[in-house]
Amino acid sequence: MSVSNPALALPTSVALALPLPTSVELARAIAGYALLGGVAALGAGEAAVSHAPVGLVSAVGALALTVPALLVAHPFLTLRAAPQALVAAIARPFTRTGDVALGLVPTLLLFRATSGLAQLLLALMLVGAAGLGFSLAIRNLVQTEADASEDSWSVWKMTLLAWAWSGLAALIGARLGIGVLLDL
Amino acid sequence: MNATTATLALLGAWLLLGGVTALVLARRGQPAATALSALLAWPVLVPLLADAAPRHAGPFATRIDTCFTALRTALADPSATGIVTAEELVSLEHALRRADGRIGMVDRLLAEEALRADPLALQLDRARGLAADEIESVLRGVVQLRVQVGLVALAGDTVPVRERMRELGARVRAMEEISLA
Amino acid sequence: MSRPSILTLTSQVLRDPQAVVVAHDTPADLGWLAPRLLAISGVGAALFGAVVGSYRGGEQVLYAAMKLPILLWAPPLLALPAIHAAWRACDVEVSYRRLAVASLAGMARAGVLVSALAPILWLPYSVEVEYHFSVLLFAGMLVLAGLPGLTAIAGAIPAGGHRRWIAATGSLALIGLLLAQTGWLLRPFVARPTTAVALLRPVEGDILSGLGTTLTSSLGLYGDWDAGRDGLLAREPR
Repeated sequence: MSVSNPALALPTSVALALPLPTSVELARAIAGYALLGGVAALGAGEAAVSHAPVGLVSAVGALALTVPALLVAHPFLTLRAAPQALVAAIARPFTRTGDVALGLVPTLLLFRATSGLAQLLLALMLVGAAGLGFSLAIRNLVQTEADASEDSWSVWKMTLLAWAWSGLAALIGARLGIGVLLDL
Repeated sequence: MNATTATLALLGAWLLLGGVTALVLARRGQPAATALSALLAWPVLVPLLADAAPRHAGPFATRIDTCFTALRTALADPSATGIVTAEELVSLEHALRRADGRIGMVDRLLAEEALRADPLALQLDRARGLAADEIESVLRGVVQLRVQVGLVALAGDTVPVRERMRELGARVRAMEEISLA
Repeated sequence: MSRPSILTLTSQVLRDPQAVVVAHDTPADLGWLAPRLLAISGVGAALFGAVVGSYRGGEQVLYAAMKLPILLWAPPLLALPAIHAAWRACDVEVSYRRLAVASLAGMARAGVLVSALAPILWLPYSVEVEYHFSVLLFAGMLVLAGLPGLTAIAGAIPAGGHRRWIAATGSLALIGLLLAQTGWLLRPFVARPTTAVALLRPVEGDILSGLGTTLTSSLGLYGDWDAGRDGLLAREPR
């Protein structure tokens, strides 16, 4: 199919630099976020049980609400990377930070059993995991666009878009997390 | 539940997991010292549960150790980073060790007087010879891989190494089937 | 491959822990290596613990000798899954087994080094230096011996990946946090001569509240904190 305006052409299919996560990896990541919140709420009474999904809600909710907006803004800015590549660029840090959350469960369990610092540590761990995840996602998104485009102006646009997206996702994730903790 | 009780419960859970790990390791033929270590330090011994290394080593065990230690040393060099992933290396090594274990089992069978008289023993011996030749060939390939890693460090072209890894992986996967034909 | 003796292995982890990790990062080797390295770290830490307990004397020598190895082992054992996941998240492909071997080598290295520092600690303890200073000395020696242990683990992580500083900072922070809380849970190590000897104090507060109390105490501001008249296997002072 020929087009007169190259900007209207669909992105040529680019071999994915990053694979989409498998269902096992996704399940493990979700389990990691769910367990981390659950451990912090262990034995803390009925009110705390409602706070257990804080990790899962803020992580999954932030992505579910903001990734579609990213996928809309991307072609609007005449950027070239394939949508699947963008999704993979974000999904991989999500699964990897989910593994980190799972790895932190023993530590949080220790603090939950032996101190009153569990809630504070949970907040720090979730913020740390989010920071790591966004940092890697920004890097992946920019690299994905650089692989698909040949001009530096597109890479600059993607950098700005990636930062804007991560800022929005961080704010929404924080709002969702606070909403769960304060029952808002 | 107060903090002391919770701590004791946590300690109990730790020791329970350690006990289970110790039992599994003991049943898999690990030495008593290893199994006892698992009571307290089971997180560092979990890889022994996941690894499918055969319990009984075959005639090539020492050579496999030597080849892969040398290859890991070469790959540990900063200029050789990322050429081969740890998972690929482990997968190749495990497959070789399983093949070696099977040859060891066949050797033990062929050593039995009663079985040597069986007409199938000749076929088994022939198949054993073919499998052993294949392992020898793969081990030579592993040595050549080390040389190619050095070339990557100089020329930066990882394609020959990747192709060699794919070839070796395919050959050891084919070795997973013992054929009496 | 022939197995090195305990003495040879001790020398190897001191001289070049990376060589130990590279040479023994195999399923076949982890099985026999783990108990030996744990024994090396345990004996070293126990010797140091005995010297730490000598400040109070009596049963405290035995209690501290029993607890020091746990203080050395617990942080890397608990942090290992998270550290592995953090480095993988940064696209650094390091196998869990390699990290496990490196942790064992690091613990052994720290255990041997801390036992070598034991005579240096004993000297001021033998002249009964002030209590807070003795605690600081103890903590300082642990850090001094622990850092080479941590470098043994760090050295096993291959080059490459992205945003490595995040994984490195997180790993260090996690181990530090676990070391602090484990130390708090297993207290007392350096017991005041006037307090009851106890294997363990009741689990109360946390490392942050404990540090706060120590800080105010060192400034001469004593609140209602009890110097510890009870605890597991507590004995009144003579």
